[in-house]
Amino acid sequence: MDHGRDPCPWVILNDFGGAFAMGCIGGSIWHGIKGFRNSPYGERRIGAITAVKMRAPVLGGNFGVWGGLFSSFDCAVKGVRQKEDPWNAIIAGAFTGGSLAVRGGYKAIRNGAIGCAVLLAVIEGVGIGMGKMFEGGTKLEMPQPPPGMEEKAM
Amino acid sequence: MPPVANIHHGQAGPSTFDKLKMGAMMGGTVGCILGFMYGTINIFRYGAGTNGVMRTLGQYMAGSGATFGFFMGVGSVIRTDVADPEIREMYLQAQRRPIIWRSHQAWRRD
Repeated sequence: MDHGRDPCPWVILNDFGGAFAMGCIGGSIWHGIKGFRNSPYGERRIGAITAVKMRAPVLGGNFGVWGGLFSSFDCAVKGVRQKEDPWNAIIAGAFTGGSLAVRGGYKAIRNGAIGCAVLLAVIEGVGIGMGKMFEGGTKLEMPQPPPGMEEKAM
Repeated sequence: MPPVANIHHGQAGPSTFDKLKMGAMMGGTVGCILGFMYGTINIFRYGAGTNGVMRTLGQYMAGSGATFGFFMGVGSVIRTDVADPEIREMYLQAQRRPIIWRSHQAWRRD
Protein backbone atom coordinates (compact mmCIF):
# COMPACT_ATOMS: atom_id res chain seq x y z
CA MET A 1 0.00 0.00 0.00
CA ASP A 2 2.55 2.55 1.08
CA HIS A 3 5.70 1.45 -0.66
CA GLY A 4 6.60 3.54 -3.66
CA ARG A 5 3.72 3.67 -6.06
CA ASP A 6 4.15 3.73 -9.78
CA PRO A 7 4.30 7.03 -11.66
CA CYS A 8 1.04 8.38 -12.81
CA PRO A 9 -0.18 6.76 -16.00
CA TRP A 10 0.86 3.30 -14.82
CA VAL A 11 -0.70 3.53 -11.43
CA ILE A 12 -4.09 3.42 -13.15
CA LEU A 13 -3.42 -0.09 -14.42
CA ASN A 14 -2.08 -1.08 -11.05
CA ASP A 15 -5.10 0.26 -9.21
CA PHE A 16 -7.52 -1.21 -11.69
CA GLY A 17 -6.07 -4.67 -11.29
CA GLY A 18 -5.83 -4.31 -7.54
CA ALA A 19 -9.43 -3.22 -7.22
CA PHE A 20 -10.61 -6.00 -9.51
CA ALA A 21 -8.73 -8.61 -7.49
CA MET A 22 -10.02 -7.12 -4.27
CA GLY A 23 -13.60 -7.35 -5.50
CA CYS A 24 -13.12 -10.88 -6.80
CA ILE A 25 -11.51 -12.26 -3.65
CA GLY A 26 -13.75 -10.36 -1.28
CA GLY A 27 -16.78 -11.27 -3.34
CA SER A 28 -15.80 -14.94 -3.33
CA ILE A 29 -15.72 -15.01 0.45
CA TRP A 30 -18.81 -12.84 0.81
CA HIS A 31 -21.01 -14.63 -1.68
CA GLY A 32 -19.60 -17.98 -0.69
CA ILE A 33 -20.89 -17.50 2.83
CA LYS A 34 -24.11 -15.92 1.61
CA GLY A 35 -24.79 -18.63 -0.95
CA PHE A 36 -24.04 -21.31 1.64
CA ARG A 37 -26.41 -19.86 4.15
CA ASN A 38 -29.21 -19.18 1.71
CA SER A 39 -29.25 -22.65 0.20
CA PRO A 40 -31.43 -25.49 1.45
CA TYR A 41 -29.78 -28.41 3.27
CA GLY A 42 -28.18 -30.86 0.89
CA GLU A 43 -27.43 -28.21 -1.71
CA ARG A 44 -25.35 -25.91 0.41
CA ARG A 45 -21.98 -26.56 -1.15
CA ILE A 46 -23.21 -26.40 -4.73
CA GLY A 47 -25.28 -23.37 -3.83
CA ALA A 48 -22.22 -21.59 -2.46
CA ILE A 49 -20.17 -22.45 -5.54
CA THR A 50 -22.92 -21.29 -7.88
CA ALA A 51 -23.31 -18.02 -6.02
CA VAL A 52 -19.56 -17.40 -6.11
CA LYS A 53 -19.32 -18.18 -9.80
CA MET A 54 -22.23 -15.94 -10.65
CA ARG A 55 -21.62 -12.97 -8.42
CA ALA A 56 -17.94 -12.67 -7.47
CA PRO A 57 -16.69 -11.68 -10.96
CA VAL A 58 -19.48 -9.12 -11.20
CA LEU A 59 -18.46 -7.60 -7.91
CA GLY A 60 -14.84 -7.64 -9.06
CA GLY A 61 -15.84 -5.82 -12.23
CA ASN A 62 -17.73 -3.21 -10.27
CA PHE A 63 -14.78 -2.67 -7.96
CA GLY A 64 -12.42 -2.56 -10.91
CA VAL A 65 -14.47 0.03 -12.77
CA TRP A 66 -14.64 2.16 -9.67
CA GLY A 67 -10.91 1.85 -8.90
CA GLY A 68 -9.75 2.39 -12.45
CA LEU A 69 -11.99 5.39 -12.97
CA PHE A 70 -10.96 6.84 -9.65
CA SER A 71 -7.29 6.37 -10.38
CA SER A 72 -7.65 7.96 -13.82
CA PHE A 73 -9.41 10.95 -12.34
CA ASP A 74 -6.85 11.11 -9.56
CA CYS A 75 -4.04 11.31 -12.10
CA ALA A 76 -5.93 13.90 -14.14
CA VAL A 77 -6.59 16.04 -11.09
CA LYS A 78 -2.95 15.74 -10.04
CA GLY A 79 -1.87 16.80 -13.50
CA VAL A 80 -4.17 19.81 -13.53
CA ARG A 81 -3.59 20.99 -9.97
CA GLN A 82 0.13 20.13 -9.75
CA LYS A 83 -0.29 19.43 -6.05
CA GLU A 84 -0.33 16.43 -3.75
CA ASP A 85 -2.93 16.72 -1.03
CA PRO A 86 -6.12 15.02 0.17
CA TRP A 87 -8.21 17.26 -2.08
CA ASN A 88 -6.95 15.33 -5.09
CA ALA A 89 -8.67 12.19 -3.90
CA ILE A 90 -11.81 14.02 -2.86
CA ILE A 91 -12.18 15.78 -6.21
CA ALA A 92 -11.41 12.56 -8.05
CA GLY A 93 -13.99 10.76 -5.93
CA ALA A 94 -16.60 13.35 -6.80
CA PHE A 95 -15.84 12.97 -10.50
CA THR A 96 -15.95 9.19 -10.19
CA GLY A 97 -19.27 9.16 -8.42
CA GLY A 98 -20.68 11.64 -10.88
CA SER A 99 -19.56 9.82 -13.97
CA LEU A 100 -20.78 6.47 -12.69
CA ALA A 101 -24.22 7.92 -12.11
CA VAL A 102 -24.32 9.83 -15.37
CA ARG A 103 -27.14 7.78 -16.84
CA GLY A 104 -29.45 8.65 -13.98
CA GLY A 105 -29.76 12.32 -14.80
CA TYR A 106 -28.72 15.49 -13.07
CA LYS A 107 -29.94 14.60 -9.59
CA ALA A 108 -28.31 11.17 -9.63
CA ILE A 109 -25.04 12.72 -10.75
CA ARG A 110 -25.16 15.22 -7.93
CA ASN A 111 -26.00 12.64 -5.29
CA GLY A 112 -23.39 10.20 -6.52
CA ALA A 113 -20.73 12.87 -6.64
CA ILE A 114 -21.49 14.08 -3.14
CA GLY A 115 -21.64 10.55 -1.78
CA CYS A 116 -18.34 9.49 -3.29
CA ALA A 117 -16.64 12.72 -2.28
CA VAL A 118 -17.76 12.21 1.31
CA LEU A 119 -16.58 8.60 1.19
CA LEU A 120 -13.16 9.61 -0.06
CA ALA A 121 -12.94 12.45 2.43
CA VAL A 122 -13.61 10.04 5.29
CA ILE A 123 -11.06 7.57 3.93
CA GLU A 124 -8.43 10.27 3.55
CA GLY A 125 -9.13 11.61 7.02
CA VAL A 126 -8.94 8.20 8.63
CA GLY A 127 -5.79 7.44 6.64
CA ILE A 128 -4.12 10.60 7.89
CA GLY A 129 -5.21 9.88 11.43
CA MET A 130 -3.97 6.31 11.35
CA GLY A 131 -0.72 7.41 9.76
CA LYS A 132 -0.18 9.80 12.63
CA MET A 133 -1.04 7.09 15.12
CA PHE A 134 1.41 4.57 13.68
CA GLU A 135 4.07 7.17 13.09
CA GLY A 136 4.34 7.66 16.83
CA GLY A 137 5.30 3.99 17.25
CA THR A 138 7.92 3.77 14.52
CA LYS A 139 9.56 7.11 15.11
CA LEU A 140 11.73 5.75 17.92
CA GLU A 141 13.72 3.36 15.77
CA MET A 142 13.96 5.48 12.64
CA PRO A 143 16.84 7.92 12.26
CA GLN A 144 15.82 11.53 11.98
CA PRO A 145 15.36 12.37 8.30
CA PRO A 146 17.13 15.44 6.99
CA PRO A 147 14.87 18.49 6.83
CA GLY A 148 12.93 18.98 3.62
CA MET A 149 12.49 15.26 3.00
CA GLU A 150 9.00 15.03 4.45
CA GLU A 151 7.33 16.70 1.50
CA LYS A 152 9.06 14.43 -0.98
CA ALA A 153 8.21 11.31 0.95
CA MET A 154 4.47 11.93 0.69
CA MET B 1 10.42 -18.15 5.48
CA PRO B 2 12.13 -18.38 8.86
CA PRO B 3 11.37 -15.49 11.15
CA VAL B 4 15.05 -14.99 11.88
CA ALA B 5 15.84 -14.01 8.33
CA ASN B 6 14.81 -10.41 8.77
CA ILE B 7 17.29 -9.51 11.45
CA HIS B 8 20.35 -8.59 9.48
CA HIS B 9 18.36 -6.61 6.94
CA GLY B 10 17.81 -3.82 9.40
CA GLN B 11 14.21 -2.66 9.49
CA ALA B 12 11.66 -5.16 8.28
CA GLY B 13 8.26 -4.12 7.04
CA PRO B 14 5.08 -5.17 8.79
CA SER B 15 3.96 -8.71 8.09
CA THR B 16 1.02 -9.59 5.90
CA PHE B 17 -1.14 -10.26 8.93
CA ASP B 18 -0.21 -6.85 10.31
CA LYS B 19 -1.32 -5.36 7.03
CA LEU B 20 -4.58 -7.28 7.24
CA LYS B 21 -5.19 -5.96 10.72
CA MET B 22 -4.28 -2.44 9.72
CA GLY B 23 -6.50 -2.49 6.64
CA ALA B 24 -9.40 -4.02 8.51
CA MET B 25 -9.07 -1.50 11.31
CA MET B 26 -8.94 1.39 8.89
CA GLY B 27 -11.88 0.05 6.91
CA GLY B 28 -13.83 -0.54 10.10
CA THR B 29 -13.27 3.03 11.20
CA VAL B 30 -14.25 4.39 7.81
CA GLY B 31 -17.31 2.16 7.71
CA CYS B 32 -18.41 3.19 11.18
CA ILE B 33 -18.16 6.87 10.33
CA LEU B 34 -19.96 6.40 7.03
CA GLY B 35 -22.61 4.23 8.65
CA PHE B 36 -23.15 6.92 11.25
CA MET B 37 -23.65 9.56 8.56
CA TYR B 38 -25.81 7.42 6.31
CA GLY B 39 -27.84 6.10 9.23
CA THR B 40 -28.44 9.58 10.59
CA ILE B 41 -29.63 10.79 7.20
CA ASN B 42 -31.90 7.81 6.75
CA ILE B 43 -33.39 8.10 10.23
CA PHE B 44 -34.15 11.75 9.64
CA ARG B 45 -35.69 11.01 6.26
CA TYR B 46 -37.67 7.86 6.93
CA GLY B 47 -37.84 7.50 10.69
CA ALA B 48 -36.21 4.85 12.81
CA GLY B 49 -38.73 2.05 12.47
CA THR B 50 -39.74 -0.24 15.29
CA ASN B 51 -36.29 -0.64 16.77
CA GLY B 52 -35.77 2.85 18.05
CA VAL B 53 -33.22 5.41 16.98
CA MET B 54 -30.14 4.16 18.78
CA ARG B 55 -30.56 0.56 17.73
CA THR B 56 -31.15 1.43 14.07
CA LEU B 57 -28.15 3.72 14.04
CA GLY B 58 -26.03 1.05 15.67
CA GLN B 59 -27.14 -1.48 13.09
CA TYR B 60 -26.19 0.88 10.27
CA MET B 61 -22.79 1.58 11.83
CA ALA B 62 -21.98 -2.04 12.60
CA GLY B 63 -23.11 -3.26 9.20
CA SER B 64 -21.18 -0.80 7.13
CA GLY B 65 -18.18 -1.00 9.45
CA ALA B 66 -18.03 -4.77 9.04
CA THR B 67 -18.43 -4.56 5.26
CA PHE B 68 -15.80 -1.89 4.80
CA GLY B 69 -13.42 -3.56 7.21
CA PHE B 70 -13.75 -6.86 5.39
CA PHE B 71 -13.10 -5.45 1.95
CA MET B 72 -10.31 -3.16 3.05
CA GLY B 73 -8.65 -6.04 4.85
CA VAL B 74 -8.76 -8.12 1.68
CA GLY B 75 -7.52 -5.17 -0.34
CA SER B 76 -4.59 -4.41 1.91
CA VAL B 77 -3.50 -8.04 1.88
CA ILE B 78 -3.48 -8.40 -1.86
CA ARG B 79 -1.64 -5.12 -2.33
CA THR B 80 1.12 -6.19 0.07
CA ASP B 81 4.48 -7.40 -1.16
CA VAL B 82 6.55 -9.94 0.69
CA ALA B 83 7.98 -8.41 3.83
CA ASP B 84 11.47 -9.83 3.29
CA PRO B 85 13.29 -7.41 0.99
CA GLU B 86 15.53 -10.12 -0.45
CA ILE B 87 12.60 -12.26 -1.60
CA ARG B 88 10.92 -9.19 -2.98
CA GLU B 89 14.04 -8.34 -4.95
CA MET B 90 14.12 -11.87 -6.32
CA TYR B 91 10.50 -11.57 -7.35
CA LEU B 92 11.16 -8.29 -9.07
CA GLN B 93 14.16 -9.77 -10.85
CA ALA B 94 12.02 -12.64 -12.07
CA GLN B 95 9.68 -10.31 -13.90
CA ARG B 96 10.35 -9.60 -17.51
CA ARG B 97 11.87 -6.23 -18.16
CA PRO B 98 10.02 -4.06 -20.62
CA ILE B 99 11.74 -3.63 -23.94
CA ILE B 100 11.90 -0.04 -25.03
CA TRP B 101 12.66 0.78 -28.60
CA ARG B 102 14.03 4.03 -29.76
CA SER B 103 11.35 5.62 -31.87
CA HIS B 104 11.67 5.97 -35.58
CA GLN B 105 13.49 8.97 -36.96
CA ALA B 106 10.31 10.57 -38.19
CA TRP B 107 8.63 10.46 -34.76
CA ARG B 108 11.41 11.97 -32.68
CA ARG B 109 10.96 15.38 -31.20
CA ASP B 110 14.60 16.47 -31.20
